[in-house]
Amino acid sequence: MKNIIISYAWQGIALVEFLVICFLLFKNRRKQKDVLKDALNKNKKNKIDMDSLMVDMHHSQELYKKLSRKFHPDRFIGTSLMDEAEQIFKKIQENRTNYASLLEIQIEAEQTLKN
Amino acid sequence: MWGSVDFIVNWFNDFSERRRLVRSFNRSAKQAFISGVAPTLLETKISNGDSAFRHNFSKFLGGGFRIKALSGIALNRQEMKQIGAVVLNNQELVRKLISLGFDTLEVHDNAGYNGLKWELYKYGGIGGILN
Repeated sequence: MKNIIISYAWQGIALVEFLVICFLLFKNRRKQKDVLKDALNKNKKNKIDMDSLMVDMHHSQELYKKLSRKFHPDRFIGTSLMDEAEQIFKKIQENRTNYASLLEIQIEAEQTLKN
Repeated sequence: MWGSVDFIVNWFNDFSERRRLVRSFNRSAKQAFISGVAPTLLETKISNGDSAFRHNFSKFLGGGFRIKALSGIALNRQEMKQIGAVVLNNQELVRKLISLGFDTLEVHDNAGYNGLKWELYKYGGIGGILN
């Protein structure tokens, strides 16, 4: 009789453990789904910033020309800042139509290439 | 039957979203012009687009995103290129345009006879393996 009770108790414990594992797996999967859903919803709300697009269209070219002239690597030939100048010039060329990024690069360049 | 209902609902949704995008561009252009940020007034319209640039999601007779510059003088090629490049380098905007059924970006002025056009599909960075 005692053995039967013990075996039932073990079976009950095993069942409870199995249910807990299932619950945790289900919860984890749901959490992952929620993260993806949140990311998608966040993206839906994000509207394209047309105001900055207007600024890019009319002022980025001007700033690009100014920066590419001021921080051209040829100006730093023979100095220790040649590598940094090349990196900054690459960044300037990559962001030639993005006014906000060009402004950030200008600040960075002025700090790094100050000599 | 539900398939055709779904098609009609999607068509109207896409149409309103396209109009919203064009309206927001025009509103920003107007504000930039009034406040003095922009020297020329830009205006966008939905045009037919170029049939050579069509892709699978192109809208029938509405695949062109035309930017018109009210400059008063003929813009040179470089100026038009600059306006186009800003749109094309904004990959989020290009992808949105493609998904809304646009296939051609057109830039022209109100005085000259020349304009430029680009195939949007090439600038969307489309491709690669799905995860």
